[in-house]
Amino acid sequence: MALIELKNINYCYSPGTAFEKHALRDVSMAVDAGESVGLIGHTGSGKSTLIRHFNGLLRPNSGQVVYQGNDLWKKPNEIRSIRFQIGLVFQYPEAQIFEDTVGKDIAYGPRNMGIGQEEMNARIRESLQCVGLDNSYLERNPFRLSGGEMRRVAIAGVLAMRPKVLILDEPAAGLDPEGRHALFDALRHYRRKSGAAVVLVSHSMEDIADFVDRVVVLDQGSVALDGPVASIFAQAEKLVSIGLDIPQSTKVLLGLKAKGYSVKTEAYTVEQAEQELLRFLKEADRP
Amino acid sequence: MSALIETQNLYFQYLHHQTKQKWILNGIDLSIHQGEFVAILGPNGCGKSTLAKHLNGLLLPSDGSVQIQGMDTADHQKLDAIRQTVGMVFQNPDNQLISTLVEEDVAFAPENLGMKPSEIQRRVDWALDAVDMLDYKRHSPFKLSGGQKQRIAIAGILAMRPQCIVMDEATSMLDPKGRADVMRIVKRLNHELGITILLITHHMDEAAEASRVLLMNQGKVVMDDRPEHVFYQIDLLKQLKLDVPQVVALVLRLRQQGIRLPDPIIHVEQCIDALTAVREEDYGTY
Repeated sequence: MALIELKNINYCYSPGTAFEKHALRDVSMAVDAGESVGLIGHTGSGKSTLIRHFNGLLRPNSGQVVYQGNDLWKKPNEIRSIRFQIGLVFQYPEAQIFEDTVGKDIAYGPRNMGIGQEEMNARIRESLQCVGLDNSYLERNPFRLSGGEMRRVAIAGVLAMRPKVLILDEPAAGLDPEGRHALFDALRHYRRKSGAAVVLVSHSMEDIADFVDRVVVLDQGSVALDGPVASIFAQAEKLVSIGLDIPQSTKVLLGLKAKGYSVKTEAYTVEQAEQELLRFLKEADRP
Repeated sequence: MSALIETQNLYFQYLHHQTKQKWILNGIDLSIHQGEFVAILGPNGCGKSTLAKHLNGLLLPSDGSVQIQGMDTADHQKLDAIRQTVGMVFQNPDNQLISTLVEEDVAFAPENLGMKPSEIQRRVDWALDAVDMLDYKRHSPFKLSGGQKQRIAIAGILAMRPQCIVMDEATSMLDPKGRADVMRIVKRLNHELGITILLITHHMDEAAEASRVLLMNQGKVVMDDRPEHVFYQIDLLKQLKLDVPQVVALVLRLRQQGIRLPDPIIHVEQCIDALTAVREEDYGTY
């Protein structure tokens, strides 16, 4: 049984008005415990609308959200407690930091869960460590940190609630390569340690290739593709046709194919592309 | 002829850094000439944005000087003229748009410069046309996509007829299509209108479009060269924890395998052409 499952979700903004927009059409997807799933799609494809269904921020017009076997909307007054288990990290989460020390800011979530001081201190230290910051940060003013550090503090605040499902919307946007690596290391560490499921929304195919096991592609509010990373990247032409970016290595192979050469185009890392290109160039040696 | 932008021995630190004395800018000497397209790369905290904010007097040097067309940014009388010469586009489009109508937003600067209404209208139409957004003149900027918003922000600067536009990570919040649209406009402004572009970015493929790349680290410019040279300084890029572009990594690997690929290759198209040439050459030998 999946940890969390969305079944035939339909969602429409401003129904019955001139601004009516059908954002999700019959979307189904399931995520198992310990799994990492990438959610990709161009702007307006419904990614942000979809992730707001995971923890009941939006109520579907039709369809079900099933968490641990229970329909989320059967008992709407229990959704608050479920939100502590399904952590949603919005884009630019550092904008939500408000306390004057890092320690207090991380404590905000667990405090609202009613967790005692001792347990709380342990959790704060644990999640700070998880995002790769040491205890010297606890008393520091979060607004004096670098952008990448603030991002990790904000995510530590969500990890301190020990969510079983962690959903992140473009967590690496605007970070430099080093900050990005540190963030993904932290997420990997948390997933391994806690066995949580992680859903990653990203435009960056490099990040997706690097971090997730399975990819769901949204296009115009519907699931266009759903499968293991390699099988999704193998359909590079389809990804391009729905307006998604693909790695440069794949672009080189597609370019050669467009010139009429017979090359396989499913490579998405430099190493894979190198192998295919060596084969392609050596093939020319044969008369 | 003097340069458009000239920094001499530029040092800067924030005053509230009482605990540790740290130069954010640590002696920068830089000349940028009219019509150049310069990309600035470097890890977070290396001083890229701080340098950008010195170029139209948002920050003033702690030591040394910044001259814009011979005007010193420390000269308070010249600030208005300097800010009409060098415009800035920032990361978050939502922080830069102020009006409820696109055309009013673009008209903000010319209005404040006290232009005649007919001239304002002419400039707004011209600027919106230059960024391919004329059709959205009477739209609300808040319902546009991120890429469209950034193009409106660029139009707002263009309406002042500046010599130079500084883009401070102006594409980092955009999706791939929005980024591509903004980059297409920026290249056009540079090629067709001769506007000097300074592009601060983390995206190597954007920096590849520039004619000159500055690598910054710890408040200093550590390399200043054409992108095809900078991108092959693999050790330096790795040391600064910057990504090596995939195309460059691929070319280097293939060369190690004995494939003779010509210089310079930094774009996907160049790589495709080079590979085609190698393959056809081999065919020719049989």
